[in-house]
Amino acid sequence: MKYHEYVKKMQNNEYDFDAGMLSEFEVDVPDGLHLSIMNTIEKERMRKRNVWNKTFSSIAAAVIIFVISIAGFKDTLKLPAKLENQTAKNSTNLIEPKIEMNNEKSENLESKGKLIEDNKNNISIKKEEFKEKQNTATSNKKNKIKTISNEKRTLIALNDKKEESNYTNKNNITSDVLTSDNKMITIKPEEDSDDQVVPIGYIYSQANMSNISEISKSSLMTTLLASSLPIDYIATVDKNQKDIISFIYNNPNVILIDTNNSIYRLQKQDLSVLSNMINSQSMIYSETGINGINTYSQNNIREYYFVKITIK
Amino acid sequence: MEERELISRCQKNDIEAFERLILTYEKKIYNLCFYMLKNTEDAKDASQEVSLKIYRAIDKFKGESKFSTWIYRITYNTCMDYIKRRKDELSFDDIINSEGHLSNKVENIIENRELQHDIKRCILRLSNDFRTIIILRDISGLSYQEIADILNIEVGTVKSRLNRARESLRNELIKCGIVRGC
Repeated sequence: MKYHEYVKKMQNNEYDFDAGMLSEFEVDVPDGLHLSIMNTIEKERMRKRNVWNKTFSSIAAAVIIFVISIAGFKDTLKLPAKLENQTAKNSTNLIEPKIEMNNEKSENLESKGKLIEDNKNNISIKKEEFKEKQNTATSNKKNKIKTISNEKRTLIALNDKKEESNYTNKNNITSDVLTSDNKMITIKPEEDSDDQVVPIGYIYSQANMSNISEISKSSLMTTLLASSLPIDYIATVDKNQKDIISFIYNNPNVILIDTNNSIYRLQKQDLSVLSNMINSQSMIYSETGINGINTYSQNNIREYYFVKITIK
Repeated sequence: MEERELISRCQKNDIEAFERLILTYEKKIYNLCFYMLKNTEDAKDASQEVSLKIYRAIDKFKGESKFSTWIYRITYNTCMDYIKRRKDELSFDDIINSEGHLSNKVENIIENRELQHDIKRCILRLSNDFRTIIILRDISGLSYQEIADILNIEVGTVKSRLNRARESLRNELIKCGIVRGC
């Protein structure tokens, strides 16, 4: 027994021991220690594996998100250019009918002036003043059209010239769009087409929105905008034609007017979703990723559905 | 199977090889833990922690030192962490109880159990540094160089510290009446 020798050496103050003289003092490993060690190792192994799986799946998800976001970014890069072109195109389209409208206005006023003179009602319209006004208005209008894309506005498309040809202009000119601060551009269809030929459309200032009682767009817009859901698009949809007649992208810098082209970000299948949504009078149509609230309004000619769309 | 091959297999995440490797060193790890921590429960916990550390870090073992030295170093560092963490040093009674519990197991094997018991008790009374170096040299039988590597000190320091540790142990043995003082 070496530890006896160890003690003897200690007794004699000799510290020159061989290594491991007290090796008999080694204690035995308690029962179950090996098992618990291996359990710990096994747990660690599983944890490592889970960590790897999680890491791998999160990397895969990140890659997918990255790819999707890159694709989306490309789309958004393309969109403004396309929109600019479209806005310019639409603006020119808008200018032309308005000029025509003003010409017609002047003709009508001239005829009215003649009638007034004949009837000696002391009402005269000075052609020159009117022309000046018209010129000023035309230039203002161009400026307005340029700035219109920088403000958040509601536009309701002007289309369907056939219908408009039947309208009258009586009591319709409530404000000169060219000098007022317009927030909404729309057509006001008139039922009582008595005597005169009507211009293709009228532009109403926001101050006169109350006149558009059939649709009450301003209150609708207020409701939509005040709602807590974020708005991506607001569309005005013609139920009968199953077509979007106006479409507003909720970006203050972008206004979309044109029916066909303004649905750039909406896929074709989304149109059918809108249509289904309207037909079912569903407030939320979530199956296809579109959430919307639709509001119905009607005049004699058309049914309007204002759909607030949130693309998921 | 050679130790190097086992290590290589462990580095490839072979759990069977790891089990065989840990079986080889389990006793050494546990003994160092036991003598350093002076407590069977702490020694068990520390042994588990050491094994886990070995498993996690075996990829980083490049064979620059002996594998046993690497393991002892991990064990020593783990035990030192335990000692630092432990707010109150165990009372002498705890040591005696722990020792007594162990000696009951061992007494059937060893003839002169009282002497062994007393020597162990005297070792456990030594300070951390002295106790560690006595364990590594006299119980585990490591070379000076290995001890120097484990404790991260010079070989000369190992020798001088070992000498002082033995003197200190001798004094304890005198106090217990095992060795007569002169």
